[in-house]
Amino acid sequence: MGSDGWWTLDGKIAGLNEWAAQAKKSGRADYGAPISGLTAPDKTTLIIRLTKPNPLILHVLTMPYTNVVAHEAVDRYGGEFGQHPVGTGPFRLDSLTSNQAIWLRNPTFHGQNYPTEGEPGDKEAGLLADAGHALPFVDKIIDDTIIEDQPAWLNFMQGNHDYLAKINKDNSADVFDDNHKLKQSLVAQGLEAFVTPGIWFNYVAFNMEDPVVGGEKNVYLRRAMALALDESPMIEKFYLGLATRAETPIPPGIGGFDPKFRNPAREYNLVRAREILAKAGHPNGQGIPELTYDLKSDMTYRQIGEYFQRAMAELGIKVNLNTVSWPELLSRVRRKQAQVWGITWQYDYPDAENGWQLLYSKNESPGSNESNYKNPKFDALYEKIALMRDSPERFALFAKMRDIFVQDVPWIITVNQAETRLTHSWLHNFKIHQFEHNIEKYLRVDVAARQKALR
Amino acid sequence: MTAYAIRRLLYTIPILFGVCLLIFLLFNKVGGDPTYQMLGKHASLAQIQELRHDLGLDKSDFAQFIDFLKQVVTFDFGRSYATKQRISEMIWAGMPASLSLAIPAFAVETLLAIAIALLVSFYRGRLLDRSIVVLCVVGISISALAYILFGQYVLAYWWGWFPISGYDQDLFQRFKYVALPALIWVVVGLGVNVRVFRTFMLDEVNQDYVRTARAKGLNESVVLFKHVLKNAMIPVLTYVVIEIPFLITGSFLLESFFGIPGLGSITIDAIHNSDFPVIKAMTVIETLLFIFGSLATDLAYSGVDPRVRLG
Repeated sequence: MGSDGWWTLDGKIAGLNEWAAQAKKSGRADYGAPISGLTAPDKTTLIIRLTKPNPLILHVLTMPYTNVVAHEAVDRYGGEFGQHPVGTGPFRLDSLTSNQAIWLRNPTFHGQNYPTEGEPGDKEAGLLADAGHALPFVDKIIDDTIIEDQPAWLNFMQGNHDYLAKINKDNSADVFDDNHKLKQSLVAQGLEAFVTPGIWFNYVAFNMEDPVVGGEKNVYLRRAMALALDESPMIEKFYLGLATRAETPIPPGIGGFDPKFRNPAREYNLVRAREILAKAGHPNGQGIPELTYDLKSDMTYRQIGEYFQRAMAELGIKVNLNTVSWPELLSRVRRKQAQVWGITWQYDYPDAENGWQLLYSKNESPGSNESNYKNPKFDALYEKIALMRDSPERFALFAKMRDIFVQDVPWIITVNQAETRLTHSWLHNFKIHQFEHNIEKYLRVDVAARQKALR
Repeated sequence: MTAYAIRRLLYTIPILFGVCLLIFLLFNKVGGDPTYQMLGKHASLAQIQELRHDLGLDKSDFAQFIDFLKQVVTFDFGRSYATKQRISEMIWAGMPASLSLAIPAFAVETLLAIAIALLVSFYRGRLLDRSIVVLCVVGISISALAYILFGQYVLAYWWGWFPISGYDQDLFQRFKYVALPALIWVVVGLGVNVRVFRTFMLDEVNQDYVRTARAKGLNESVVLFKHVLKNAMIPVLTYVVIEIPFLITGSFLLESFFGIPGLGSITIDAIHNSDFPVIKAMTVIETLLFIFGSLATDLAYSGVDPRVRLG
């Protein structure tokens, strides 16, 4: 229960909660105790019995929280299991420090072959050249965690790293041209840039229980604030020009995303914003007390906060930036003490339910509905879509939820962030994915090409 | 001297108590509730309450402070919020990496600074002395970060003289990786040390016994190395001794930029992750090192200068 992934299985598998309660009572998790919903008839079969139908469970099973592991290993390492993972994957951990993890080929890997089918365009991109070959292709993976941007960038450019997992905004001028394409000089060096819509979206959240900005009575204030915030400069300044305007909590790549929909509450229209504010009885922001915008103590968050502050000043609304540590920000938000704050949501799994549940009233703080938004109509729709698989009927319900979201403006949703990667020409089979777990087994390094390029 | 040392050690108790109180207030009262961060985005109230209980956060402030004091006394700071590792093990694991960088860098920096200070004190007021003093001032004026960025870009990336970053657990291989950060450590520290040591040397050069030695016809090298250096080493030694304990904690910036998995790097990671138990542990360790460094300095005074009596 102490795991940050407990929510994925809480109440979902028959007998699991009872087992957890017993573990809590006795102070020890008994991995040999039977759980009615989890049975393993043989070494390679796991049968899961759910408490009720749950179409999302397949997504949950692909998340890093859920792995089949040997209970002997958990018994042995206990709280240190995270530093001594024992699994069934293609690699085993050789060494782990704060800056580096080294993985070696697992000689007892059960075996798996490279896929023989892919998405349209994969074959043309050479991604099926290794189809049917045994995985993995490399014997060793060195995973360097480099916090500072310069050494990460220089190591990649010197060829010490085969791919770069993040392009910092301060390096963007070295990487992309004015059209946000990889610079020709880098293309000539054999570098390839991968950009895909991320499963992250940013928003300015309102505490709907706050007397100044929350509730139905302040909806005009929230609408005016939303109309006064232009996300276009933010995209250029903070997200390499690669992010896209967010319209709803469903980002591109997630089932139900509607590329044609434009959120009318998010059109930048300062004149209209001023009119709405005046209509609400606050011409030029009169009568609105200074708002407090909480933000994480981070350079980019600070800059975004200052941008928001300037945008609201255009309406005559004063905003005080309250910079706090991440734990303090979470404490304030989840104790319902924050008023307005900037935050990012990263999807846990590729289903729109994961975005909509942020507005479900039963998830109010300290749950994930940090805005404490409550709308019975929205809740009823949410409860329906949570039990459905993607279908036109489900998407139609999404549209109804979206309309409520647009109407009530519990957040000012701003941008969908993009995922960016850079690779060298000698790295093969790399394909960017929004949920990039376990891609290493597919990667192949052309050692001769690498040596030639570095010569 | 033993009585003095014991008395100074006893003085550390109220100092440490005060520091612990400050750390406790800063992290436990001002820093926010860690349970929300630890349990992630979907925590339920029951989970939060349970974790708060497990961490002892539902106890009174006084009881929590006593728990923290127990951690300091037993040197058992619990587990990292971020990695779930035992903090004491993280510290033991990080110490060799920090020392691999710090010891050679500190030794070279100190010896080089002494040599240069001796040289310029010999040529006091002449072009060499003035040039080196100007260089020292210029060197001090440049941020350590600028040296790091320059060194990494030019010496490692452009010229390829050193690895850009990294570390090797093999004792001999690792020196390839610590060479550049050690060089930068030396360059960054040299300006200050040369100026300070030069002052110590000049204090001695102007003493009567030096004039007497010269009047006796001793050659300059004997005057410098046998008389001036020997006496100037008293303040040099005491100046240097206080820094020695801090070698254990390494250099935050250098370790972070060069990927050296030492205590400095661990601390930077902890700050990035708001990993309060690790930050608290490192703050306590820094405090203890400062206290013991000061004590060692005072003891070193009497050790190297028979005129000093500690009582």
